[in-house]
Amino acid sequence: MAEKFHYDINWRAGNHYPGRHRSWHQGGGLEFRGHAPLLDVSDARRIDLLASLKDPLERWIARTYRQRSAIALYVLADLSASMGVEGQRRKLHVLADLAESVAASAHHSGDAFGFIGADEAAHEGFLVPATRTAGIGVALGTRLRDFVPTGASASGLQQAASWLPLRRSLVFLVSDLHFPLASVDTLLAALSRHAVVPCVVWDRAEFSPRPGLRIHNVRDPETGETRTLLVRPALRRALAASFRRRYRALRDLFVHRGMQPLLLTDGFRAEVLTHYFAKMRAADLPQGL
Amino acid sequence: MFGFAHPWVLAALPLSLLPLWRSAAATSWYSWVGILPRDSLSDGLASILRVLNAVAVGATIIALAAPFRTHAPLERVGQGAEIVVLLDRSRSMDQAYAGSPTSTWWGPSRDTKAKVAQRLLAQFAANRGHDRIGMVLFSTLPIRVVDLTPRPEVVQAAIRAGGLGHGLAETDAGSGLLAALSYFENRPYTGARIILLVSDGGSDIDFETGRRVQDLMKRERVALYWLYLRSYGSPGLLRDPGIGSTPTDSVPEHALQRYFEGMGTPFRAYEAENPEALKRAIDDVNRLANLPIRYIEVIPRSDRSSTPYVLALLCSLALLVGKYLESERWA
Repeated sequence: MAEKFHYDINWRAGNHYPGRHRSWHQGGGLEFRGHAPLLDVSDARRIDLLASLKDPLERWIARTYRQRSAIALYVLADLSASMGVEGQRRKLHVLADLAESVAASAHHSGDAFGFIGADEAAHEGFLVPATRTAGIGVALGTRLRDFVPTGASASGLQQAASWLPLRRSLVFLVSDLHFPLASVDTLLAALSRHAVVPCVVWDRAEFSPRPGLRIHNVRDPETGETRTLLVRPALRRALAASFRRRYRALRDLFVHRGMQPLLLTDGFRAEVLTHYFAKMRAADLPQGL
Repeated sequence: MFGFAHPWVLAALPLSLLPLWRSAAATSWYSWVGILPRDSLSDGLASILRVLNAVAVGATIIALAAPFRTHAPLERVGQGAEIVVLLDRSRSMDQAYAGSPTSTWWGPSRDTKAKVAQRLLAQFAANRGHDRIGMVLFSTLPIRVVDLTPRPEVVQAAIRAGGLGHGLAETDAGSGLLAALSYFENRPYTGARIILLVSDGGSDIDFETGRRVQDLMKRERVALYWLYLRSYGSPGLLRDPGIGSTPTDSVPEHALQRYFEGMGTPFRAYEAENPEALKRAIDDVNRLANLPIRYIEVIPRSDRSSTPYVLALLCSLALLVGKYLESERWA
């Protein structure tokens, strides 16, 4: 059973389907929305005597409340070849863990779960439209772990973003984001309707090769480009610095779009997301509290 | 000039470009090569390894094609003489050497005359490094052993060969001289010409042969040196020989000596009883040999495949070091 995490949204859900999250919709919740004439509300239990007396038109006034709604959680996953590279662990395993956990957590909260994967094009084989079916995450995770990605780029993510529902959803963008910053920015623009949790999946091995003076011939699974590297302390430092710069650039991009990135370098644990959402909630508080 | 023993192997030479095109090294997948920092040392190393790889393959192919330098005539100018050693191999040379006329049979030397002759010639040739020396053995018939050659090791080998086995037959100095003289025929006169006759002397030269020898000696301008090896019972050479031989001359050495004296070409006789006689002979040759001598030396075809092999080996060793450092796994 996949670990679950606690999540929250800081926006009002647009769905009518009852659930756990605050929404715009009037209904049987506890959140006071306002007053309305009884004829519109037609719920005599909610008659507000004080408001009725104050009404200049002398109508019966009832209180209205907002219902709590369900939302949809989507995992938008990069399935390009770079996600299949063997490091300390395959990134696809991290993705599978995360997808399972999101599915389980969504089910636990009564929310819908969907999955869209993409390499050069949106991957129909891995498409899971939003569903409340129990156990969908396990089946998906098993298939993801066995998947051998061959896509030469993640450019299909753009198209996959258009498969998301129009209603604002909580989208977990899972990718190593090993493509140009401009493409990342375009992708984020396409996702601007949604609440995005950018999960940057890197492997610790990517920036810490085996110790010792060695010659490595590396090959890019997407472009086929090869490079010979004489790995030595200086290059090790340069490599780490290169990844640090990359992360800063990505973070700036995300923050510019009002997102906080989540960097996963050592696999996925559900508590990381719990912590992530807790921090987001704390950030919502006004200054001084 | 260079050539190849197996030129068709060179058809494989384009294979040496393969390493430049694609490396055979073990590669590991890396998620995004684009994020790797540019490292000039690594790039340089990669190019060097590729070039080494290409050179190793190319050099091996060239070596397999067996390159050689073609034989080439090379004109050389030296100081020295053209000497034909005319060595007596008659049966009489197997008799014991008598040394000087005053020595007795119980004296120190018990070697055969052939042995002594061989030793003297080896010394002589060793002292005459710049000469071109040819060699003819003669007994009843002359045997041409080696043509005029500037190579001392060939001369020494010829001298050793001349001392092998027993003597052959009778002595016919006339035909031997003709054979020795034939070495000089149809050759440009490029330096002093000497025939060094090493003999115990017991030989007559008939009139007709004598005339031909005399003509040729004059025409080819050849000096004759006679290194005389005395037999037991022989009176030795004449101290002051008169001109011309007389039919009544009972000692064949004397007859031969008189005949040589009368030819009108430079002639010297040495009695090889002691090292000084040999030294005198060498000194005389030295005096004559001051003329510059021009000769064509043919440098033989020589195999040159070792250089590309060594080059390929060095490249391969360097590649081996690279292979040792190479890692098949990134992490």
